[in-house]
Amino acid sequence: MNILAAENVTKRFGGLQALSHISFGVQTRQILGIIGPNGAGKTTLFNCITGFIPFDSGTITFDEEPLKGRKPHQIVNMGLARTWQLVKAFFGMQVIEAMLVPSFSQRSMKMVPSRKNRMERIKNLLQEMGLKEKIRTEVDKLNQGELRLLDIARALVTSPRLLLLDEPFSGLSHREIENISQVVRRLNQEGLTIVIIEHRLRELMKLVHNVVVINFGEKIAEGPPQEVVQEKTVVEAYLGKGRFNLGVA
Amino acid sequence: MHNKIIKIKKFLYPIRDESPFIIILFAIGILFPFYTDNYFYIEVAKTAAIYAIFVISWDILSGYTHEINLGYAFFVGGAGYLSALFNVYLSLPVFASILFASFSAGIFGILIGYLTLRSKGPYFAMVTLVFASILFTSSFIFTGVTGGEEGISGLDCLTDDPLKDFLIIWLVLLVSYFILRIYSRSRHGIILKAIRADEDATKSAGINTSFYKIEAFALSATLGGAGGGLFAHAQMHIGPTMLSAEISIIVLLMTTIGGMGSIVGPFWVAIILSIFNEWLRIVEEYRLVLYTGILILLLYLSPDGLINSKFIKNSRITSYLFKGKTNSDEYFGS
Amino acid sequence: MLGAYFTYIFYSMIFGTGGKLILIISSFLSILTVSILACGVFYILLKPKIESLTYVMVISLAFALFIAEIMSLIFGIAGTSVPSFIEGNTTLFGVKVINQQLFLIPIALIILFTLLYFLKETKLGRGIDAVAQNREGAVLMGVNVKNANLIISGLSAALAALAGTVIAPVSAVVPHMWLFPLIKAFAIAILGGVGSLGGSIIASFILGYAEVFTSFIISDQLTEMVSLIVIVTVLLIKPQGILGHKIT
Repeated sequence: MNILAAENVTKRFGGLQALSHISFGVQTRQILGIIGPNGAGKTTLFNCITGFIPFDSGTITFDEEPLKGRKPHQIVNMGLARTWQLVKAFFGMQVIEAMLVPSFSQRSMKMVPSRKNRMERIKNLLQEMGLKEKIRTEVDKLNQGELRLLDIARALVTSPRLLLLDEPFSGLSHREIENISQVVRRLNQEGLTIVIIEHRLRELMKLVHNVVVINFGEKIAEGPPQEVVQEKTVVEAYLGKGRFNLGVA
Repeated sequence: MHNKIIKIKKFLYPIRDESPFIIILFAIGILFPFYTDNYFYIEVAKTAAIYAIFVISWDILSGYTHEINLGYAFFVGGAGYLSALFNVYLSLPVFASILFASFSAGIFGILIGYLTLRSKGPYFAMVTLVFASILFTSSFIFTGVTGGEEGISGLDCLTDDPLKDFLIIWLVLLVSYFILRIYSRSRHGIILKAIRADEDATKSAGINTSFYKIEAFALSATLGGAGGGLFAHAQMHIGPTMLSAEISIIVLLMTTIGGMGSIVGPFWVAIILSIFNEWLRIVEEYRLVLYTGILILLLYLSPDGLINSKFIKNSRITSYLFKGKTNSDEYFGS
Repeated sequence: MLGAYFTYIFYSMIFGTGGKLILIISSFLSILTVSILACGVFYILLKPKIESLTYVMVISLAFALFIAEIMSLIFGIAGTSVPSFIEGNTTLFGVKVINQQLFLIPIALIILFTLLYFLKETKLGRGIDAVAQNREGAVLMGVNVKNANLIISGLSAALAALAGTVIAPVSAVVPHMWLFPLIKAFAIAILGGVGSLGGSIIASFILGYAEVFTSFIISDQLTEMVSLIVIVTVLLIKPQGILGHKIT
């Protein structure tokens, strides 16, 4: 069963065709990677799925429910959460306050009615992300890696069934990437379906079950990581026409 | 029995965790009319209290979201005029007029809040200013109803005695203050701060930001309207100055100097500066120069507002005295 | 306001009466003084916290009030007067127009085109444009942001002073003469979209024509109202103004 399904999604920005007849599905409990060169339309796709940008035509469904026309917060309350590529944090607030915000969402208030339990949940999530000691620190004082972990923690507060991660590895050290990868694997084992946009192919391919490749707003390949990286169109999209061995197995 | 005590203690947290100076000030305010016969002092105190109501109500919206509402006079003056109309033309009793006027201001708050959802920064400031200007200009066009430049006179006064007038205003201030403090410490305040930091991130946390923005707008409008109504009846007269940018500017200045988004800072500044303004009358000729000069000085010394100045931030004692407890568990949202 | 007042100071107080040449020199000196003063204000008051829109707005406002009160103290609220550059009036197409006001048209055009040229063609101007669009990007491209801000302050003050000087002969020179034009200028800049010169031009024409048409066709009283309604409608439909960019 596909927890998320996109069919023929199209989006135009003035003269630019950002997304063109994109169709793909995400199986429940899967980790799906979405890759493609810069400007391919990956983040636009995320923005359309999560309701921040309206798409022109096609359908996107979550749990068979159509997402077209829904506002971002409504989609989150259906169980679909996302993180941000360019850091979007609640600067000027403490970590605990930043985590309280999603706990005030309708979904969170409904699933965890007791205030004490919500607080417990927040503390546990911070613990899992390794941020428990920073609970009273101001968000401004966190480093890039910590901010990304906080963003993921923030997304998890709403108990999502599907999590969209937008370039979670960018700007991080190898150790931090390994850290986040472990978190992703663990969340997936606990039942969370995850879709990841990434550029760091080597690290991503070790993590995902399936990959969708996008270039110039179109899907050019789909399948298990090992197969996809060997497809000619994919190699050409990243490296141009020529002979190369990507070295990813 | 023990459990009951704990429950009552928890319920009283707004007072328990409040700044001691504030509690003392409110107590002084309540006792003060009984100890003085000087009507001049009472008048000054009345003005200071009304401005405090204006300022803290403005702060809950613009101080928290950082969207500058330059059209605050719309609600203050609008409610003032409405209350006057209810009272003079419909012969409604004073407090009913003020109540209906505040309620109407709240409705308009919802309306304008909704219309300005997509406006940000200078655009928001301009649109709100224009709404107020429209009302201001209208008061000179529909002079039959509004009395034009002269305004409306002959409003019923609040009570038969200026001392009781003051007490009523002071009590309204007290109630408004605590309502706003509780509101700002609840999930509403935290969400407003989050919206200020990043509205998209807040939406992605599953929060209906439009709802909270409109709600804050309505709250700000209602309490501001109450202040406007009280002011009108305390003077027994309402004129176009209550609809002019003057009110909005004064409130903006006081709140910025006090510290946006703290309720406490602007409260102190409103009271102290109002009293200071009157005191300066002893040098009437230089009063305005000195007053505006001091405003600039205060702003320059504490660009983030006095409540955030190093003096208060760096010392735990002064921080507690002026801001109250900011770390207790109750602080974090309900 | 200071432009108008300083012209008065230079012309009447320092030079005493003189011919048109003295008037022009006084105006020039006035513009210069105000410009320098503005740079000073920028440097001392604004620079510490220029990132905060609120702080800048509020402290500028406070400063304006302060200066207005000082002027009140020195010159009184009754105001003073400055003679016109070009006296008298002419009749154009059957309508009597005050010459000084006609004089404004070529001046406005010259300023407009000079400004456009400056912003688009000169290195300094393009730097300023870059800072307005994206400060960090500009810094990375080697634009001296501090200078840019300073120059902008001085320049906008100079233009304001010029406006004050030219308006002085035909409207009252009083300490609070700045409030109305400020609101108008603010409205036009925002209506046109902050940071867009083209937008401001369009906006000023829209508002100008709307006002005049209303006053001519409907009634004098409603001109204010119509301008306001135009502004509100545009801003609610297009929250970034006519040619403005989205605020991030």
